[in-house]
Amino acid sequence: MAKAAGRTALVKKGATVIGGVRVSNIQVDYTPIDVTDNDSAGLQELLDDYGTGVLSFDVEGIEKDAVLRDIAFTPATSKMLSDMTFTFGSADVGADVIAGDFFMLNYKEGNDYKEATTFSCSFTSSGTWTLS
Amino acid sequence: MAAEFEVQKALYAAINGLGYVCYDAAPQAADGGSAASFPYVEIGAIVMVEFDTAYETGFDFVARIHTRSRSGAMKETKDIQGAIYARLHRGTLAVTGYNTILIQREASDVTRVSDGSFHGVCEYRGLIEYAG
Repeated sequence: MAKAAGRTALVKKGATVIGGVRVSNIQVDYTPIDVTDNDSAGLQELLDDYGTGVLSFDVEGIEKDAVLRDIAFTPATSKMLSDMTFTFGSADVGADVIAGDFFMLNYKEGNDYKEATTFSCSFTSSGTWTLS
Repeated sequence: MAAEFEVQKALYAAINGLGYVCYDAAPQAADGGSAASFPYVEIGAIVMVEFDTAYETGFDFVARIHTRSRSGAMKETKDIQGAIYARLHRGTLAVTGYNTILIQREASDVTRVSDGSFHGVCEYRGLIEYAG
């Protein structure tokens, strides 16, 4: 697999690429089920299934198109988004698009008087997600 | 066209619009002296660094604007610098092919040259993003 430039990762809402992104991060966390007991010989013992799986991603950059801002600052708009996707930058990998239902956890803008307006936003999964 | 040239064109148009003689490079006489029409403004070095995001390109630039005067005092130079400040600082700059995010003066100075004339230097910082 070839190395990929970070800029080639894409965060989209529907067909719209979120503009102004400079950094995107994605991670997945699995909480194991600990079944350690007196018979574990003092070593942690885990089930081969996980208790909770969470996929989260975040973006930050220069605020540009207000797509995420409009969702964040409109209280009546649901923060559960079903059309967010994260595409990995390594385009030569067969499965590279993460999709699912993602909840907008937070959104922040920064306004330095001598700089362009910045933003950051993070999402966490609800239910299963797909990698296709 | 190169962003460097488009920024220079935009600065030239803005300063020329104020009614001042404006040069890319001030003309030189055959004897090595100046053939420029004093007072005048010269658009000097434009230093550009990248201002990219993941999907867009842009530039963070500093343009050095020189003001030359053969008046008997600094006032003429400072008046010209003030007029340029009023026109550009937190103003608009129409750079062909780019959206201007901001333009602001960062520094200003006037010194006396050995021939008795005055040399003013102002530095303007701008952020532009490719509009394509």
